[in-house]
Amino acid sequence: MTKDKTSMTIEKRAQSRPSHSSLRTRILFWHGALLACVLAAFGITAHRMHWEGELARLDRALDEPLSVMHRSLHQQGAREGNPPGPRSAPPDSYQLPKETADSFLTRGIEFSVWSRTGKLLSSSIKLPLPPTKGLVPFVIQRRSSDDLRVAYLITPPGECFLAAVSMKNERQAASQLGLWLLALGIGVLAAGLLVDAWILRKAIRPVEEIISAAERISRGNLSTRIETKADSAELARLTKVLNETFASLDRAFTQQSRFSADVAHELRTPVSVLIAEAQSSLERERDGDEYRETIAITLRSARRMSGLIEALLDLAQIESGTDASRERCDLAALSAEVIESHRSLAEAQGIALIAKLEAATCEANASQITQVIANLVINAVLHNVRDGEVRIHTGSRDGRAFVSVENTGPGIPVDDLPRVFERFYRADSSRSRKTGGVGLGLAIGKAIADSHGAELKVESEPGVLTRFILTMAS
Amino acid sequence: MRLLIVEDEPDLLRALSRALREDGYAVDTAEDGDEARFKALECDYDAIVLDWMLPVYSGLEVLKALRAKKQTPVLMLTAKTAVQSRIEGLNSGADDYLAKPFDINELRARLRALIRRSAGQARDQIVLGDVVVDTWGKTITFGGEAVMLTAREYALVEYLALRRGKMVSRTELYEHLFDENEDSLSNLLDVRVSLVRKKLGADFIVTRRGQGYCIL
Repeated sequence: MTKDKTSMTIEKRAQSRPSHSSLRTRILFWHGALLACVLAAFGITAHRMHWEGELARLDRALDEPLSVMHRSLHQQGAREGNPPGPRSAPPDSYQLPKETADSFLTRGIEFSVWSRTGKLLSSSIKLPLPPTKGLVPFVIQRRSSDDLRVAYLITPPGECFLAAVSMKNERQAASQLGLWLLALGIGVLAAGLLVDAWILRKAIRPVEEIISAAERISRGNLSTRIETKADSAELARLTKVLNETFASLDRAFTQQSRFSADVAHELRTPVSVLIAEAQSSLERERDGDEYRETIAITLRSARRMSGLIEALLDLAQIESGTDASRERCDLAALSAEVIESHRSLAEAQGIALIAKLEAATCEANASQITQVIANLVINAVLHNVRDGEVRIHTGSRDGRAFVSVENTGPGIPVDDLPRVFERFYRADSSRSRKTGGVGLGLAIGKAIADSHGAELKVESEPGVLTRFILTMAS
Repeated sequence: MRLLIVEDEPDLLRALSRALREDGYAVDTAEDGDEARFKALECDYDAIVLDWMLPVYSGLEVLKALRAKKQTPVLMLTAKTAVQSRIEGLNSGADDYLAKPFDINELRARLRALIRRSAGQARDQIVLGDVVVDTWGKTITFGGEAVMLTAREYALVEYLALRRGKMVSRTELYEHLFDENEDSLSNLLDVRVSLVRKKLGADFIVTRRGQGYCIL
């Protein structure tokens, strides 16, 4: 049981943590490794150079004693009548002169001299005869043994001179230097890593901010934006692109949810009428006229809801662009058709329809464009003054076909002009039911115009006129 | 009880006023903000049912204009359902809030509660000696037996019962028990008072000449 639990916890942790190691850790690791290699190379080189310099100094100090010893041996041989050379040998009793030996010893230099036969002649230190076979005469051989730096040479006849000096201090100094270099290296490495981590942190911070903003957004808070002063051009661009994406997402969602709210709102009133009317009718016995009126009212409400649903479906269909068929048509002919079918509506409102139709051919979906014109004409008739006029013009201008519908209505306040194409927008903040519209006519018109690549614009002089113009490529 | 119903949807206005008239309320109606503001300030209604979105002035503007002068109980009725809207409505002086679509019985209950509270009466039952007025069921019992009253007769009893011991003038009664379409010079009120006296006892309603009526 406990075991299971533990293994589950571990599994969970493994799941919740991303399987990739963090970018920062990886960069830091490789930077650290590289820095360590460079520091090690420098440290080792520096240490080596120092040590070789020390050896060279010691070696230089040993050269002079060797030549002094050689000279003194031959001087001794010469004194005894032997000319210097292979055959003249110094006596076996040869000793380095005392003053010379003393001067060596005061400088810390040890010496040994061996005869041609390998017999130790004079020595201040007990050292074995170094290997002399195959050595070139007068070439100084050097070696280090334990704490001694040794230099020796042989003469052509085979005598061997050796000088040695203690390296104890030098070795100690060198190992101290090594420790120093190591400590320095570690220090520099640590400092380097710290600076590196700081720079990385600074460089990565915008990314972290982007991540946390994206996380907030994915949790549903669409109004969040990334607020970062990214130093690098790449991150600044990424931030900008992401923020733009978030903003358009936000807009789309806000629009969508406002639209749903509006639809719900629009449906609420007819539903309220239905419920209130039906409920109060059922409360007691009514006469036939009352029932008839109740049914008429419920029918009216149902028609209104049906109209709203139709309009919403129209809008959805236009926006999905499923009906993209185009044919050659004349805006003048379409407008004439619309005027004919809406004449009785206009007359009922006491509005005169005045047409000035000139040929305006274009490629379009005739039934959709007819719908746009009809919506504009209906609006112009319903939002008009008593005994007003609606003027419909078509024609071509600058190679573009246009239809304009203007009325003598009360006009639209300038502030509201950009909003007239919004869904459910009504100039009168009340949902003036008398006009009977569902508030989607202009939104549908705009959607159709957009799907045709056409332009639907509005101009208004409050109290004088309102003019809608649809312009499209001929 | 006299109500003002403000609603710009004519069908809804019709259904509401019919239902409330049948409950015995005197109902005035208004279809836009201007008319609503005028009537609300002109007349002392027992309660106002106010739609939010209206032509000319919005319900909120009407409410603000009304609150500057009067304490008439107001029930906001609107399709705006967002919490923020409710808060805004209540903060502007609405006494209650009902979202569309609504149940007409809920509207009735809320109106009754509003009227009862504004009359300072916290309970549904008002006991007047042998007579018990049940404002919830709109019924009256006399000596334990149910008495059949018409809606308008009941309205008269309830209005006086809610103001028990206070002298209520004829003008006030006309204002609260008859709507704008009824002729206040007729003797409808006297007829109604005498009908109630027949059913609940001759001295249930006391008349003071030149002052009005009262239930003691």
